[in-house]
Amino acid sequence: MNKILKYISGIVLLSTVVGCTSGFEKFNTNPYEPATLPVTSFFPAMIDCLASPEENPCQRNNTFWACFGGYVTAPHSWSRNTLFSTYSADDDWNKWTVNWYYEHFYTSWFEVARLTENQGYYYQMAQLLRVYTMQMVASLQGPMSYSQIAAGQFYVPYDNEETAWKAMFDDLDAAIVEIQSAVTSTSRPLEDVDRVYGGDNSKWLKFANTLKLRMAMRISNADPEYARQKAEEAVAGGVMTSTSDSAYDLLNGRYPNGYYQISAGWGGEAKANASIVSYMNGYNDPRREKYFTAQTAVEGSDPYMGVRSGIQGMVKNDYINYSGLIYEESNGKTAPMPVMLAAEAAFLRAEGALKGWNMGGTAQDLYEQGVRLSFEEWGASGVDAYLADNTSTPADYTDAVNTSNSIANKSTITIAWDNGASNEKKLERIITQKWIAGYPNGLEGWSDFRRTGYPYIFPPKNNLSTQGCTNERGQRRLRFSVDEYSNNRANVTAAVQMLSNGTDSDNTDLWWALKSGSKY
Amino acid sequence: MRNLIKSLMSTCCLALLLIFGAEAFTAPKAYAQGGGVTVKGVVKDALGPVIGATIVTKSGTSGTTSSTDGSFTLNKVKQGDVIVVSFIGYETQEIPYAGQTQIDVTLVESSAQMDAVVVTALGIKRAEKALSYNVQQVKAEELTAAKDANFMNSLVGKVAGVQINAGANGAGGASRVVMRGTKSLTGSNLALYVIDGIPMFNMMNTASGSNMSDQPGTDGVADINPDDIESITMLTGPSAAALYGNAAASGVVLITTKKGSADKTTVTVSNSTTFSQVYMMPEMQSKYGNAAGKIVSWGNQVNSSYDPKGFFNTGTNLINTVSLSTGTQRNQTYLSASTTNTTGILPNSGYNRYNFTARNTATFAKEKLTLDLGASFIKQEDCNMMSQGIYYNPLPGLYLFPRGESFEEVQMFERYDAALGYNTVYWPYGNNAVGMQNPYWVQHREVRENEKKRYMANASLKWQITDWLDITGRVRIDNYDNRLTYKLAASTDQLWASKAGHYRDIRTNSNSTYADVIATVNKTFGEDWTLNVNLGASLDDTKYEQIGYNGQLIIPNLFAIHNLDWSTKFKPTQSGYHDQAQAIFANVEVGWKSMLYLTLTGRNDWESQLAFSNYTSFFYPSVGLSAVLSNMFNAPKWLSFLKVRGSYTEVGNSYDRFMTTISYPFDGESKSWSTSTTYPNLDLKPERTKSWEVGMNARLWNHVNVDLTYYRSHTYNQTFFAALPQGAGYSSVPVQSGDIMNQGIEMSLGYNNKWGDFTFSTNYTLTWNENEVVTLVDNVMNPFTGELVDMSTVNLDMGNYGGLDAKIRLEVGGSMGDVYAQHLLKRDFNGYIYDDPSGGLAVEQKETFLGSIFPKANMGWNTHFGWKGLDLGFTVAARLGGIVMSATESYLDQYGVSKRSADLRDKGGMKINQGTIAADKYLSTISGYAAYYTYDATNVRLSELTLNYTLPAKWFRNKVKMSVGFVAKNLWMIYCKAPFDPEISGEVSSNYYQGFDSFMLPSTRNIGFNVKLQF
Repeated sequence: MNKILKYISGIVLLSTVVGCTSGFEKFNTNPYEPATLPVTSFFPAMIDCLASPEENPCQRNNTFWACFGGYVTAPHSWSRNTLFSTYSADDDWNKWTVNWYYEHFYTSWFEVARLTENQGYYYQMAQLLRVYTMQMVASLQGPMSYSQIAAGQFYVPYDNEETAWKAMFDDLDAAIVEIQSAVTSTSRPLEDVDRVYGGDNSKWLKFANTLKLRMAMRISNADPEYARQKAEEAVAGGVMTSTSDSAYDLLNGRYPNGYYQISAGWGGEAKANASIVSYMNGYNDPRREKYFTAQTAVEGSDPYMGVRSGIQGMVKNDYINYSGLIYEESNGKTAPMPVMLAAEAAFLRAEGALKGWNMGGTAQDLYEQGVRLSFEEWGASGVDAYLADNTSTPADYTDAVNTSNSIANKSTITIAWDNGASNEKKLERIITQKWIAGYPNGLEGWSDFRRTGYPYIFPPKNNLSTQGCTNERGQRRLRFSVDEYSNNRANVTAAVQMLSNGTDSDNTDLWWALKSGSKY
Repeated sequence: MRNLIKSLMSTCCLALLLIFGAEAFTAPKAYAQGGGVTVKGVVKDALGPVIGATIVTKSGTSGTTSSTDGSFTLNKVKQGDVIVVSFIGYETQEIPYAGQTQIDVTLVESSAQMDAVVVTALGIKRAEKALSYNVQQVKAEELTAAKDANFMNSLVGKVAGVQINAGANGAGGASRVVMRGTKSLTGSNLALYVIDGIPMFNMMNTASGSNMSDQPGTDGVADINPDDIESITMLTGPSAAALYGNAAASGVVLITTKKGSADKTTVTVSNSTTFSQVYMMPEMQSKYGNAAGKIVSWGNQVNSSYDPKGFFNTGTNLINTVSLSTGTQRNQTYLSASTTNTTGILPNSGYNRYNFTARNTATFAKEKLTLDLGASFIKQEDCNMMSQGIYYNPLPGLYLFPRGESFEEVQMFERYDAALGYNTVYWPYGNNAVGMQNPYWVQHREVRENEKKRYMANASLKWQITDWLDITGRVRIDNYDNRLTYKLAASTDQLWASKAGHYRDIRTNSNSTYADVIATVNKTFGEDWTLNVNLGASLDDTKYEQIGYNGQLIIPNLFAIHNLDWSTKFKPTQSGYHDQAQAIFANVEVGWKSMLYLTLTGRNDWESQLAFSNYTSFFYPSVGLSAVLSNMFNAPKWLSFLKVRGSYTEVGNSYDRFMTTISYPFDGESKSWSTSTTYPNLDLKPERTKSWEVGMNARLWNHVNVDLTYYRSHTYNQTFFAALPQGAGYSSVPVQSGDIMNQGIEMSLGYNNKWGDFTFSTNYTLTWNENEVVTLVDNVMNPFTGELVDMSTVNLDMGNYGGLDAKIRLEVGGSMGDVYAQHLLKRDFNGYIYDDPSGGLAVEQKETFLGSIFPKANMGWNTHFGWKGLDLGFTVAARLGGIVMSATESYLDQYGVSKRSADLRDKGGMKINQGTIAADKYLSTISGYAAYYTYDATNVRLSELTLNYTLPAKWFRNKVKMSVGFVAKNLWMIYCKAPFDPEISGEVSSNYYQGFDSFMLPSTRNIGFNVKLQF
């Protein structure tokens, strides 16, 4: 019996020895991942939202719906015939960009907000980036979750467009105050992580004011007085005036240039859009060689031939030899990706001046300054001759290989400033040159088109819209993410009522857009 | 709390043992009268000790049972007594006592088996009648008659309750083995493998379930040499969980390996050679070509001789094994060496494996101690294993090749580039976002290899303390070391490489150690009561480390880490973990009159994954009852045996490691720390499965077997990654809720008989499983605010299928395999397909339920005819119900290379309503939409045919036993409406990416022969 007892106590003892779980906390801690990070380490991901450099978001955010801006064509019908370019993106394609902006931005923003307790320089810089990101979302879908976002809040109501835009102006103004005080100090707390200005706050101040000017112009149809006030504040605060102020995502090895990846890397999944190439062909624009690769599809034809957008069933290899974005060339791999260029500030001021706002210059001066800045930006020569050209008009599009893609250009706008022209002509001239200088920022091009009706962007070859998008007016917005209808149903349903026609459709005009029935 | 539970458990164990201890001292009184002598002995069978055999004197004065090493001590034996040794399934032996002090008995298996003996959880043979749950045993011959590089594939159609899907990546690939349906939404639902009583850490070389995934490889199970296997027991239910922990909740494949044999030396040499050929390729056309400058073959008639089938080789599978089995009564040794060399049906692909195993079993210290030592070394390598998808797959380029072009040009897959100074790929057709590449280049210049070394060693020491109590301590280590390399030559499509090429070199190693100590009490009380108790404690410790580099080259074709371009697309990778599980467990079985058995089990697990959570451990019990009715009443003569059984089991399961703390993952793409998009929820509880089963086993007229089991399980506290609204700033939050139910029937029906030289056996199995989502997300707490949130409308898309618009979506009342399509052809108000005069045929967004990827039922029919030395066997396997989808067919239509596209063109177009729509218009409209590429998965096939002949031993003067055989697998697809083999799996580890073909490697038909020599 004693012997047996001994064995038994042996077993019990063994199980106790075995039952030592003191190492468990160590085991269940990931040895290769930090549990805390400094606040600056959350900025690179937020900066990603400016230009979407990583290849997948670059394709989704800069080439898919961005074809509406007339710069880029995504020349392929992936496995499904659901394409933005034919106005027939299904829910899965439609939701991607906005979902990505929220997910990619806010996971980092919440960390900064938590670590800074919603105050100070880091927080306000995060707020500046937040406003930049969310004005894109507002320009895409209209009402959005913005002012009521807070940590731990799962079911965030949507702001109507006016509330959202004004909340963004308020946040931007608070950020400008903070950055202004940081300019006086020479320290650069974000130097190591800032891929745009290396932590130079004087540049960020100009960036913030230029953004404010852009936002003011965006809502200028909807609330002209508020827009004027904000635009004048921005210009007085100091917007970009020189190409050294221009904002690029310098990448700094974080990612290769996204345009390079999807065009050279993935085998021609982004090409130059027929619209901008045709305009610049007509203008014999010296910037073409800086923007595009030469086509090799047809000998003896125009050296630059873009790809028509919106061709149902297209296969990319059939268009591989058409003009691509300049980033397709091998040195494009590390080329900085434009975020906001100094020329844009000049064109915004020119348009403001046309409206009679105090923009510190005349419309003509600012218009010509914009073109000069753009030539300088891209290292193109011949700007004087270009500005003096009062005869060239945008060209028709001729697809020399697949001729059925060809289409005539409706615009006849020339380049040289004409003080005698009507305000409408002046507006078209400014927006047309702003558009050319704005390459390749598709959202700005599309937004200006929706706001002003300019420039003339070729309609899709196959308009497959089931929601009434017309060739004249194009698609007017992106629908709310389908996921919101399952995950945030009450709030998104309320948001639909905030839309101008109470319909969550591709064809619904946003608050600030040129309404149906006006020109086009 | 943890300590409290532990000390409670310890106290309980102690109390339990004390009771038995006390009993042990009182029990022998029953035999304490009448005098006589003590006789010792050992009961064995051909394979080793027999445990639990009954040894009684015929006069009934004394009785005992054999202990775990087969030994027994019988008291009070008188001269002239007849000692009766019996055990279910064996011929009863009677030995007259004439003064022997040692009586060793070798039992012979009963030819008319009344009841089977099975190897159960602890690697111990038990009478099947005592078991309250379903077990199915498979003999080694079923594995070796038609050998497969992965032995699990040989079990298709032979076991009820199991669904086995071979990996699509060919010989040696991992297989998907699911028992009684998928239970866990996020956990693995794959069966656990237990080798000689010890759970195996199964390192899988998996890919992600996506059409843009790396290619999956093999796993730890496929490493096992089928010739080393003595038998396999399948425990389809969770009943073994008390002994193996929660990994056993998904069922267990229990592998018993061979030991050396006593007093006999046998050398076995065997060879199996089979050839595999592609079958069930998609049907394609080469009649119509492409228009000049176009990729799609929607151009004029060209009547090209292009046949994609010519690309495939005949695969060869060579398995050679030599084994030695020898020993004395006290010391037995088994040695084996085996080589498996296969070449795949794709050029330059293959799988090789070399197994070396040694095992020694020795008894010493007056047979009180038994030491069992084993060691294995496995070297395995594979090259270009390919399963599916558009990455590293030659098939998109092969299948979609423009039919008007010259494939001979493509066959010369590289050309010398004088300017670059090396060969570059010839492929002027682009990848077209479907991974189109020169198929020969993919196989020869995008070389993906694995090299694995695996060491296993095990030791167990059993101490027979008394005739009714023993303690066994076991330890097993299993270490893997794998090196994976990708070498993509310069000029490979830049989707995967820079201009100079691409190199990946990743090393993985894992060290797993398992140790346990188990005390076993095996006792008979009086003539009516038997008691079997196992008490144990175990430790399971697994370390896993992975480190490597992945990037693009600077100098062309120099595959070295130093030559990687660190500035872009460079991804260093390092990950690792250390998991540890500790447990104490008890298994108590009480038997009464060999007709009624009650089994109780309990287990408490401490797992490192629970650290930092509110739970430190979890306990789970089970109870089972088995009654041999045929022994309880005077059964009619035709009812040879009837048992009914029932059991209830609960199993806890911890969630994934690292879920209870926040950390920042490294993003290799941007080379920076990133934030998780999952909202941290640190308040998690272990998943729990509650299941019960009832069943019966009957034998009629001694020749007919009927086994029937009904089971039902509910799995609660499922971990969902519930999607969050955009404004939450996180994409998902883990929440625990829901209930997944599985219920089903396992049935097997067998008949075997012998008439002189002729033997016949047949066995039919039926598996029916129903999977139902009973509840989903309800009463979820916001981990940040603590308030309850309504997630009833949350989107539970569990996976989608690249290339088609189908999604798996969870809905209450549906199953975990429900697939929905998102689009349909647009119809007019009358329901007719709408051919818009201006826009033409169009699709509209419309969610449509397509079906479930789960089968409704699986059936198998396995039959053998024997005549003298000749054995003819065949297996017919059938799957009923469920759907499969094919993105391949969709791409073939889109590119105008499907046979259907040619037929439609020949007919002038597709008839829709009253009109005809041009073939290209129709097919390019429907392509990409799952509603038009979904097929019934029902199929019936002759999965195995074997003919073996054992040559008469007298031909070799009884010195040599030789058998030769012919084998064929997948010989005849009797019924199948799908355009590909619905039973192969593109990614075996995924719960959702099943039943889907995206340029999947076609199934193969294997034909060959084998030779076995035994000296």
